[in-house]
Amino acid sequence: MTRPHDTSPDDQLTALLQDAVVDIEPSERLSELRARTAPSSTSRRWWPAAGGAVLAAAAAVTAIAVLGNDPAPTVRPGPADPPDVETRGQAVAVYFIGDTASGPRLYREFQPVVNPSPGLAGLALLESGPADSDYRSLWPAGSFRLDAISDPEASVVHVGLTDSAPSEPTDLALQQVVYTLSAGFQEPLEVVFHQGGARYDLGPVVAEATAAPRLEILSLVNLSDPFEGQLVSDTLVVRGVANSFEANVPWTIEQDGAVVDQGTFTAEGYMAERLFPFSGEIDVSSLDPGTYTLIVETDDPSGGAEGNGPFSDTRTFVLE
Amino acid sequence: MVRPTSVLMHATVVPGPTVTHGATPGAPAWDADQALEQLYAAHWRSLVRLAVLLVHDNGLAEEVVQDAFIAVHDRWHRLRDPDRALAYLRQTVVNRSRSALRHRAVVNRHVARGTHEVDVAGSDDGALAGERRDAVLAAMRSLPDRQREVMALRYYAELSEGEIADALGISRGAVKSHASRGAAALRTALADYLEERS
Repeated sequence: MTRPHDTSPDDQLTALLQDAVVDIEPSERLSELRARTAPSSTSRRWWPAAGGAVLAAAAAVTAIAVLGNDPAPTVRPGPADPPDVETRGQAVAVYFIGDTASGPRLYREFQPVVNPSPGLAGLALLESGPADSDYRSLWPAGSFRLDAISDPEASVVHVGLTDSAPSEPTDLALQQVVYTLSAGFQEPLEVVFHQGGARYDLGPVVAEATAAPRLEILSLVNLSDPFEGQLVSDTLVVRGVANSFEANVPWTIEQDGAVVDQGTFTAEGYMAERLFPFSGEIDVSSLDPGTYTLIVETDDPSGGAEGNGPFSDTRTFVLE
Repeated sequence: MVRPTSVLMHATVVPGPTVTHGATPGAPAWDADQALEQLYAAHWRSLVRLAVLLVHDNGLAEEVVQDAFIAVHDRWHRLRDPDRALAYLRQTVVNRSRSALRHRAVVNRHVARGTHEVDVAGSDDGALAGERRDAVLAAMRSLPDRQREVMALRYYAELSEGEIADALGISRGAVKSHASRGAAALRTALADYLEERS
């Protein structure tokens, strides 16, 4: 803020403007606000399935990409009036397990959290579970000792496990943690798992892991927006990442198993060992209000003749 | 003399429930009511002050900010990221201040209802400070809407160019040009008070 002897023109204006209102003590309106928001039948719909995570609020959490360059989900701000959908989203990426034709893979889900440490937030969210019920976590509640996570030093982070954690976590479980922490700290990390320690003591090392190659561990298509159960008015904004043949990402909207609309997004690329962003807006204003499912897939030009078949990701949304 | 206070307008520090390991899974971190209380505690005063700079009327400023809080409460479930709640609140305050100003009738009604004008009592150097504050508010009022908004967000809330662009839904280039014209106008209008300090 303004330093005592600052007299730069900008600082002077700052001082003048701040001083102009410094004595204004607004009246107490909290009780009026409470009263006006009292019929809060709609106020509980926030993050319908956000399975938990009681987390401290504090400084801004930076948005996180997967070990690199995937964008966090964003929705562009509305034109004039404040957007009544999301403003630019910043969230923590958490990796859950979902089943694919190629076996269980990691799916990234952005969860809204406010926490001084995104790394810590990610771990707490891992054990509290996904918003999308198609996903699951291999880490039950209470798996992590949140008092025993080191800040990453030399790209290594140490994580203490409790007795609630699986005694022999699978590779996929370890990768959940590696990917989530790497996203949280925004750098590729090696994770060293400890178990059996006491307070301030991590205990012996039980496992170590670094990120497995993306295309071998991640679902090759993954939605960021909409979030599960999102309310939509006229336009469904879709964002995600994929690695799909010719960058094609076919989508369908279904209701009760019947296809009501379909099309194709184009990802920003496909010729590399990573997932590429795709996005688009679907005009859903002609559909009747109700609950729908959005399905995105990787393209399978062989029609299933080769390989294991397409990857897919789905989200339920509610059209108002 | 001018005594700037620090205003926590760009740090999103909102006290919240504390992390406890093994806390009840299934309990959402924030619901709309909790968020409202926390945001109120942290930002009510600074947002009202921001609105006063925009609408030059304490009572109207409070109404605007109160409505903004209610808008955030109503839309809480659609706010993707609670961390952006302050940015959203601020944006709502700016937009609503603008529309309040456009509806002069609203303003007049408030004034007629006896809304207190800016209270300048209690400052260290009494009359002079009061005069200066009036001059600042009057100078702000004389600016075109966008310039006034950019000035308030830049010099009062101390937001970056990018943050201002986001809050107003205009380009950074536009922010820059409103900022330079607004600052020039304020410097001219407030020349007396600026020279006093240099």
